[in-house]
Amino acid sequence: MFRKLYLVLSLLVAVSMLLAACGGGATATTAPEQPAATEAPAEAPTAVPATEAPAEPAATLVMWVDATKAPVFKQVADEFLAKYNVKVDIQVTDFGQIRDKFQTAAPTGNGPDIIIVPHDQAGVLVANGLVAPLDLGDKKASFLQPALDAFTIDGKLYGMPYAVENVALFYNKDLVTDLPKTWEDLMAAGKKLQDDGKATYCLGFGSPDYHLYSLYTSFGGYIFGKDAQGNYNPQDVGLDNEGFIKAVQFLDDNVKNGCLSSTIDGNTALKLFTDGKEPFFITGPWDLDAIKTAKVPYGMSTFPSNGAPFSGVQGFMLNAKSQNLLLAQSFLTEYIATDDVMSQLQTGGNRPSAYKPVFDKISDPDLLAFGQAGANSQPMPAIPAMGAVWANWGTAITLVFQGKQAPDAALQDAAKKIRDVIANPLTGMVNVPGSYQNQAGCGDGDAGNWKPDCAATAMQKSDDGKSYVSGPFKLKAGDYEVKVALDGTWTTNYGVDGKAGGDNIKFSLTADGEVSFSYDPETHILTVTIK
Amino acid sequence: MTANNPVPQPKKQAENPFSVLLRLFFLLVFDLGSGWFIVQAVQSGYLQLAAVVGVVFLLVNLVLLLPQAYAYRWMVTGLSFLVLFTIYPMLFTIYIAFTNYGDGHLLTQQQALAVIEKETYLPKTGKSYKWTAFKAADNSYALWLIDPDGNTYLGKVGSALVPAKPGDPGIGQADSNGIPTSIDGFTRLNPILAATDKELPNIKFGEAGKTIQIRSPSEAAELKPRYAYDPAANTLTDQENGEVYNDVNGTYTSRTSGKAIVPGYRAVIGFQNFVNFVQSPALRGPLVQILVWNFVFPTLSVLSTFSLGLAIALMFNDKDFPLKKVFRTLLLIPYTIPSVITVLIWRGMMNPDLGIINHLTKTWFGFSPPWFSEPIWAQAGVLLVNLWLGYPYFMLITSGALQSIPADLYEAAKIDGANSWQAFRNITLPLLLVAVGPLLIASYVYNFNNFGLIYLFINGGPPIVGATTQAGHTDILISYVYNLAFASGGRGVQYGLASAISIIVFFIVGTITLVQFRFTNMWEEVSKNV
Amino acid sequence: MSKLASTYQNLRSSQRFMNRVSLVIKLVIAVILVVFSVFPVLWIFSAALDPTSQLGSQSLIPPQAGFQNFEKLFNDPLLPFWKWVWNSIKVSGITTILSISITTMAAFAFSRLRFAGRITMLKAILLIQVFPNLLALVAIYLMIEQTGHIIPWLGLETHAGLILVYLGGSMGINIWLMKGFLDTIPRAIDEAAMLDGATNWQIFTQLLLPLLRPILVVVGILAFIGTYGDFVLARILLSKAENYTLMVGLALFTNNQFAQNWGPFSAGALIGALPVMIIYLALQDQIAGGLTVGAVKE
Repeated sequence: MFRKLYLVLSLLVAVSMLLAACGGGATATTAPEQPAATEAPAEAPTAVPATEAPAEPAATLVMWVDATKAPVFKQVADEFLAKYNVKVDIQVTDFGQIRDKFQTAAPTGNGPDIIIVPHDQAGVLVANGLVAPLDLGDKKASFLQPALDAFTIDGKLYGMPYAVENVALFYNKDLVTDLPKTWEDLMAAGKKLQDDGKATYCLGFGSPDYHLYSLYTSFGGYIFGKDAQGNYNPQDVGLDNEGFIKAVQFLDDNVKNGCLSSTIDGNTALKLFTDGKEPFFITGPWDLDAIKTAKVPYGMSTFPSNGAPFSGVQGFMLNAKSQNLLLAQSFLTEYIATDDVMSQLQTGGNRPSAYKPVFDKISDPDLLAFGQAGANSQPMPAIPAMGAVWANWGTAITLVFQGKQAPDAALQDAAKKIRDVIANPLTGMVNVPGSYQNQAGCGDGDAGNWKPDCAATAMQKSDDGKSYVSGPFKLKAGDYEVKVALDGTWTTNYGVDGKAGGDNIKFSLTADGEVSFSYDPETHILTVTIK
Repeated sequence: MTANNPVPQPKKQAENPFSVLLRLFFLLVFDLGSGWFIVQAVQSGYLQLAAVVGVVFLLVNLVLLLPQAYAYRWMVTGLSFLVLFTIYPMLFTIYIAFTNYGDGHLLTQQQALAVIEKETYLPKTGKSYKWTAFKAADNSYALWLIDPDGNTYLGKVGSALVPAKPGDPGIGQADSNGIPTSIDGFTRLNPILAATDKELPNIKFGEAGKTIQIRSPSEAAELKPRYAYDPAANTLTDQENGEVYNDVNGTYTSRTSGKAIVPGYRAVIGFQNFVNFVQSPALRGPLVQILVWNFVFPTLSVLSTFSLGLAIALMFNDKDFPLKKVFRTLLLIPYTIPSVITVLIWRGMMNPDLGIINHLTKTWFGFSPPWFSEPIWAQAGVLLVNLWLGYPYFMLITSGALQSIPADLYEAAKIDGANSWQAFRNITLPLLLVAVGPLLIASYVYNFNNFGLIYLFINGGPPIVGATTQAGHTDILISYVYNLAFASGGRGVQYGLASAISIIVFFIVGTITLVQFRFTNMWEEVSKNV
Repeated sequence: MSKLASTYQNLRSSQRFMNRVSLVIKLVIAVILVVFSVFPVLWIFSAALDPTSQLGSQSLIPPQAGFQNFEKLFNDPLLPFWKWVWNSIKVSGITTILSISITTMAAFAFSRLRFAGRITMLKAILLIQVFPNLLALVAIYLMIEQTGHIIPWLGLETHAGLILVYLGGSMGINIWLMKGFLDTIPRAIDEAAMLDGATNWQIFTQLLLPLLRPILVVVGILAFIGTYGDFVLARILLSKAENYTLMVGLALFTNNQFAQNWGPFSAGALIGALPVMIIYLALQDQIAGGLTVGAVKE
């Protein structure tokens, strides 16, 4: 009997292996390698009737889209297939994972041809060499400039934007009749409703950082200042400026008097708003469907006191390893970037289009309101230091709300930590990188040379404090070249005659000997002394 | 231990000839299959894959051929999978700890160079055009080109561009964009249909030396590759201005301007990641406080989940318990639903202002526990949620393991006058620990690195006031350092650093595990006395 | 409990009464425990019935309760929910059967045979669990991707490839559990059989395997739940919606940048929990086996 049991078990194993082989056997089908249809269809695409489309598409593009956007893209893809006999395979991918998964798949050549990402991920994808630049040609003028800027990295465009998103101020029309002009008015109106038992809180929001950015800006706070060209300047952190501290003080006062909740989150705030227990709610397009479904009488408005929210841009990017780069670009510029498709994407996505002809004609009141609330918006900074900003900003607010720290102390702590992360740890280093460094303890062979961050050759201040000196280094006979580099990087460097970015400074040793350097920070001239 | 407790080995029986044959037949099939696979892998250039499968090949052959390795025949399948999918990835992680793998250095050198070599530039004398493709019956192409000044040309492969105008002989009339609707012998292609031919961007139009390639739907130009790679010196030279870029730790950097070419590649950088960790602000943060909690949290988690799980298993071990199947199934529920959602549900229920738990405690005791702001309550909250998540595991395991305890032992104890507690203390628990002991360690280790719960439930909070780094009262080592290596470090994702850190963590936890292992040896001894 | 023991000598009727009392106490405890385990899950029901897809925790019955989320889940052509459930059951089922065989045979060797490297191997199995295998995903992805170029039915997008990867975990901590169980089965049983000339294989399959039934079921359920609940490995190897397992599919509804689509997720999670609960309900009797030395010797 046991033997039988064992037989059954082994049979099961065998069958299951077969099952696995067959069931999973759907091999990853690559795009059918059919060269462009032998009889090239005529120019007018409509001349190819959809019903007579051949069974095999002429080419296949793969595109990763998250679940909320997938239905509208599926529709667009179906129409594209009917028109051009080119298949766009929409693969639904979990939003939070698109970037990680793409970074795993793309280097092997397996990734999709097109991905959709928010602009703040674009910089990393470019730095990793995974996305290809893209040329919109004449269509470039049809996109909103800030949206294009968001996808422009080092002067090159890497993405085709299609939607912009920002939060807006939602209000419950049953509770609110007069829109508040200032944040003080808003809290006062909310407080009154709360005292009457009509509201749980004055204002709902997802988190006290991203969602309330408009409040901080009203008080004069900012995250990063801007340089002359209008780019964010990471050296200018505004998290602890006077306005920011005032704003946090204002928030804290309202937490203390019960007007705001210190532990609210997006779920709770949405629930309270749709239950009619929250007069004001700051949120973005992602909650619009839920609010509509709940049938709460809502209105939308710009922010009080001219507050400016963050904005994000969503766009298409191309896989640098795609075999179909030209086709993918043509699909984007010739098909997606048209009034019809762009307005379809706008309607399906709840977000104002980044495509001017469509953006200018928005009639949907909700989209219009989002557009107005975002008219003065600031693009979300897309620099790596934002990781440190989010973490420390949130912490500071939490500590204030919990009464552990005063607003100024908490924000100064946070700003200091962010500045520490941004600051170059080698700031202040003066070095003499060159072809001698491998003899001075900077490493072996060529890899040990020309290292501006090598501690072994860093210069020290001379005793009189007027110059920097290093050495003596014992060097073998030969020809050498050096430069002066500051802060452990090549960003600031000096060559012959103290010229910034100038030619290499050369010196030779006829026999083995000792070399020391001296650098004058005033004239940037390097003196080489050979013994 | 085998000396004083000899285990009888089967008498040297001659192995059944049928089973020898079966074994050798299996080995033959396996060797043929894996040998073929290794050859294929080498031919495709997948050397690492070939090496790993090669190790498995050797392993299987040794085990099946050497009589000394008899015992390993019982686990050779498992070992092969272990080597393939656990050991090899571990070695990979260790290797990465010595590289700068991470944002900016994600590709291998070969892949990065392939990307860099695709970069092109338009030489000063070069021209760029707008293009329209025409295709002949023999699949050759002609391009209608318009330069920025509005001059139009016809371009074919191998011959110079010919100035042409719509209406010229053989060329049809212009459409509204000034492009001829037809060219004799060719069919005009819509840009999308033209682009379906993957080869089109590689075709060089025009005379040699001044060839034009399609670069985008709107541009064809006389492009030249921007960088030339010199494999001997491992340098790249910019063809436009002659600037030379040298390899500095995986980034091609110019010695004159300091400019770097994007992307960099994954380079071996020795112990740099370990040095960086030692010098990082992470160690200046509240590391001791975090370590203490990192030991308290898994200890209490294991104790609480094991006790509750065991209590439930004991309770339902009673044959006469009514509806016990239904009860047990309901008690398994926490284990069957993804914790992504249940942890957030708990978060909501414990909301100090609105949550149902705090509502009830306020009504009953007039006190609302500050789960998210007071360190001690936050830690209690994490433990409570982990108890809910974890007890079904031990309920399952102990209810299985309890069956191994022979009922006669209890009979004997009863006759000796032992009460229930004594029976539990002296029989149930020690025997149970034989089987379950190692799982307690495993559970401890799992919770030691239980990043998911800490992150989802409270993200390490509440924050520690005045800490020099981003740290919270429920942060464990892994959530704390990963936060520094990934999120708040400000340099993007640094896998190399993170791997180095995880190896350091491995040494800490591994030592603890081995120390605890001595107890499992004890447990094994216990079983000998049965 | 100790009280119970002290009444051991008392009259049978009194004992029956005490049994009643203890049963009632036990029932009360059981009910409290069930409330503890089930209460949070009620909110998931609530979210599943809430058409606005919110995860609230203030009121159990959503204002416009309905089955819209279930309809959304069942009727979306882009997200083939039932296919996911089937994929999950298939992958987890096959993985479970294969990994139980691997685990059990290895555990037999560790428990009954003495060989060089035994203790080292056991320690290594435990230590491997400790290693935070941070970049395993990248390494495994590369392996499966390359394998797929040689053997297409084991590559990316195949369930066979996924199962292989899952089997990598079968030499895991469950070997310890199984070995511990085996260690408690007296050796006298095998010794007797061995004297009768039985081979190890016969002892394993005919004597021990039937006795292992309770723990086989437990390890099986553990392996099944472990595979069924995984989405980290599956989502990196599978990219097409029709190949997804349930957990990978459900993850599509969470993880949006600012808001999650909790309605369909909750509905899916509840349905997804059913197979595991049904299996447990069905196999429970097997766990409560009961092993006595006497029974073995019969």
